[in-house]
Amino acid sequence: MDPTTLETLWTLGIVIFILLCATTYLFYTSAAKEEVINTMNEAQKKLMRSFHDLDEQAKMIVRTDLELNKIREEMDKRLNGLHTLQRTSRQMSQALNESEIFQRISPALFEDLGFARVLIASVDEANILKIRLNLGYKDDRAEAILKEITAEEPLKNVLQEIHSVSSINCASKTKEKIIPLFEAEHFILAPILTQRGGIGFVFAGNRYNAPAVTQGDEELITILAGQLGQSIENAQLFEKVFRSSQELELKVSDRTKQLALALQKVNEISNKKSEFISAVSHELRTPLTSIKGYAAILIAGKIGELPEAVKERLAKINSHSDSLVALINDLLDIARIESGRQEMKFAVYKIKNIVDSVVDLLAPQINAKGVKLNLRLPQEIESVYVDSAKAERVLINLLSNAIKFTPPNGTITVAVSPKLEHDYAVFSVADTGIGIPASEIQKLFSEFFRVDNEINQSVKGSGLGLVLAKNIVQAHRGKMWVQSQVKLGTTFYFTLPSTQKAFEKYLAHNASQASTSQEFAI
Amino acid sequence: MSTSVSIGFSQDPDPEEAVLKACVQVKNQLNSPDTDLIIIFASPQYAVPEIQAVITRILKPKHLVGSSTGGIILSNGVTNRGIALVGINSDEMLFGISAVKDLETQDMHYTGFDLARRAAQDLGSTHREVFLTFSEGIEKNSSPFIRGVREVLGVVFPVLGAISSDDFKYKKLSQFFQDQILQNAVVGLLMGGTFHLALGCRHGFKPLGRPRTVTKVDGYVLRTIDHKPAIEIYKHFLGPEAEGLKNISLNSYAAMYPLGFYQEESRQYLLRNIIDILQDGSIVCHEGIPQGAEVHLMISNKESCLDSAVQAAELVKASLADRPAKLVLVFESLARHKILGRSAFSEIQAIRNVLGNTTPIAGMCSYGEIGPFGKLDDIKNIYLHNESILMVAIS
Repeated sequence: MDPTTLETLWTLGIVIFILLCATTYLFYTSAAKEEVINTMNEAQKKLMRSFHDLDEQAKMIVRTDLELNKIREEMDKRLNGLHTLQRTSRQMSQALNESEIFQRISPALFEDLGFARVLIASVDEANILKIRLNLGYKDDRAEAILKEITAEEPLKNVLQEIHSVSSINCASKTKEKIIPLFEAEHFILAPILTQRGGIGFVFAGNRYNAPAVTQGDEELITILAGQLGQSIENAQLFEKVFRSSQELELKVSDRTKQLALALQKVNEISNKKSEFISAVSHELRTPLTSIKGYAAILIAGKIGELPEAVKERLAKINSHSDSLVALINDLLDIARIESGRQEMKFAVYKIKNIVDSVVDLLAPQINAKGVKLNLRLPQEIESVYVDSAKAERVLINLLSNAIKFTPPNGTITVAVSPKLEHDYAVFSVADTGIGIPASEIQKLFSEFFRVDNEINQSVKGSGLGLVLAKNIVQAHRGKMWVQSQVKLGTTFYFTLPSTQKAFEKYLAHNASQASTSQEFAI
Repeated sequence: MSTSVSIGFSQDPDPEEAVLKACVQVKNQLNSPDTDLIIIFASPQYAVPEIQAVITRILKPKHLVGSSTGGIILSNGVTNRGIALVGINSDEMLFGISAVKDLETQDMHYTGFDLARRAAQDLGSTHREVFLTFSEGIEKNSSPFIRGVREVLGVVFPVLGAISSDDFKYKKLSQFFQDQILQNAVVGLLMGGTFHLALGCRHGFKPLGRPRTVTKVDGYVLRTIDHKPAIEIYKHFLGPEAEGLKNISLNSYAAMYPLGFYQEESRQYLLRNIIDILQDGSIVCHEGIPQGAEVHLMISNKESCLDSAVQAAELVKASLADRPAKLVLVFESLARHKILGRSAFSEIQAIRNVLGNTTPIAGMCSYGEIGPFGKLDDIKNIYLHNESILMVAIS
């Protein structure tokens, strides 16, 4: 082969080799690229799928979130509604009349529940349905609704039903009537029930573009209607009780007036009685003084000596006249004290002086009877604020009685308690005499009463001594009472003010009530 | 130099009686014949003209502003009924107020400009600290409004605010301005003087599912997402429940799942509530979402709501350093209040745990909050937020 041909063949071979190499390289490169593209396509597909999945997951999240939000919103609404309902119920239950109950229903309750149209109606005393609350209706429209609801048969029946109706549960026939009448697509109509049946209704609703009512809304409105019925019933009951109590009050007031009048009459009669006794006593005392005077002249023999028999008779006249004068004086004192005409000369006096004075006066009788007298005067209480003559009179009367009813060798004790009772000194006169039967004690302070016993039958008495003593004690705003046991003895107690302050305190408290109440103990 | 703050509150069913009681509480605490500033937060039942007459008679306020709200925030919790009055007397603070009515016919940029200009007139040359607004209507186009305000007060001036609210009925939102009750208006309160301002804003929502792209937007109407009608995103996630969104007055559920789009500037998700759904499936939002933005459905729960409130309070505390707050105003989304339900009080308790138990707190639940993401240092970018909690502390 010539060199040129050989060179050409070499060149051709090299070219073919290079072409083969290039082809091989291109083959392998394109295969790799295709692989990369395939990988990228796969990755893109994965990414797209992930995006899609992400969207789907997001969709699920949103829908779950939406569902949860709806539940939460409904719960919030229910809670808010319940909270407002509780507040409203509490306020309603505090109302004392029907109109106040309706005034206390807050429109906020319905706003919280999302209702824009509310109508509450109930019957009045004349059993005519009246609008009590109107939200969202013009007055004439509300009146028209009332007229129609009481005239239309299915609606009329709804008001007498025990259960409420709503746009989610009522019969289509009723719904067809309610929607145009109340101009509300979503509604709740709950009857107001009392024990005497339906007395009205609560309507709550919304127009056509509002959210539907829920079971929860219906329950709340039904509870409200129930509470309304209960509150109205309570208010009516309260009204009844209130009226009865007013009538009762009126009656009590009338009776009190009647009693006051009667008491006034009794007092007037009592005063007249006292005045009469006083007048009669005065009239009796004057001729008695003359009788006593003439008797004394005759006894003294100033007109001439009288025979002994006449003298004896005159002595009796004189003695009886003295008894009569004493009786008349007692009667006069009682009458004066009772009528309040007795002038009392209050001052502070030593207890010992009062007691000693009385003991001195009665010492001859005590000694004559042969009874022992004990005096127990405490050092703690030295004085009393009294009319001393009157206080002495009380002690004289009680001590005289004690002497009279205590047998010889018996004991009489005049004592003053070392402790004050409501700032009053407690005096007592105790004897070991025959005692007083329980049946007689109640009558002991009655005028002219004398216990039926042997001593009283033999010894004269007027039956006015204790009455006078009691009246004097009462005039000091004190009290008197007695304890007695038959055959063992009797103790009379009485109280007298220890100071002026104590006496005035009792006066201020109108203590006459306390002083008139006698305590009797057997 | 001193500032006295007093808060009065009443739930008396009679609005006049309620405002009277709240006035008496404020007066007793301030112990002054007149008041420099009164801020009213009233639930819709109490937003009646008679209340301002009572306030004027008793407290004689020089400046009065406020808003209706579906939730009144107080130191002891959140309530959906009542009237709260915040009274301030101060010789270290000055106030300027203004209002613009009939917002649907107004240019938002000019509205912001005019509102700020008139409020600033009252302050003269006094140092200005913050501009607060209560409004209904600026939420659909807040950016030009904020720009307008900043043209007067400064390009990085703190503009904060709350959108008036009711109880999700969207029936009658009110703004209080002196002796007037306005609707569809914005009320501005410019505060100046020598006081320290601290703020914190957070939302606590997390993105759900794969990111989607906003493919067509007309202003604040979101037409399509991933070339499908925007409502499809809700249909996908909520299923049959999405049908209920059409009745916007009932759809508090929509507020619980707002849309969120990622903000590169702040590296946060800005939330947008649905306020309407159109026949073609388009979604109307508070303020628009930029076309091409990455959008997610957002979700939160009680725990994350509470966490975000604590975070916002911690931002305020850090900014206050050791200064005690004389008043903390809280503007919080009504939707968050709904998520928290009966636990709403625990959020306020959590704030108090951070800021101190004796810190006076007052505020309102709103349909939108105006402020920065985060703290005062982030004030360069002001947004209309939804579902957020904004705290403003004065010390």
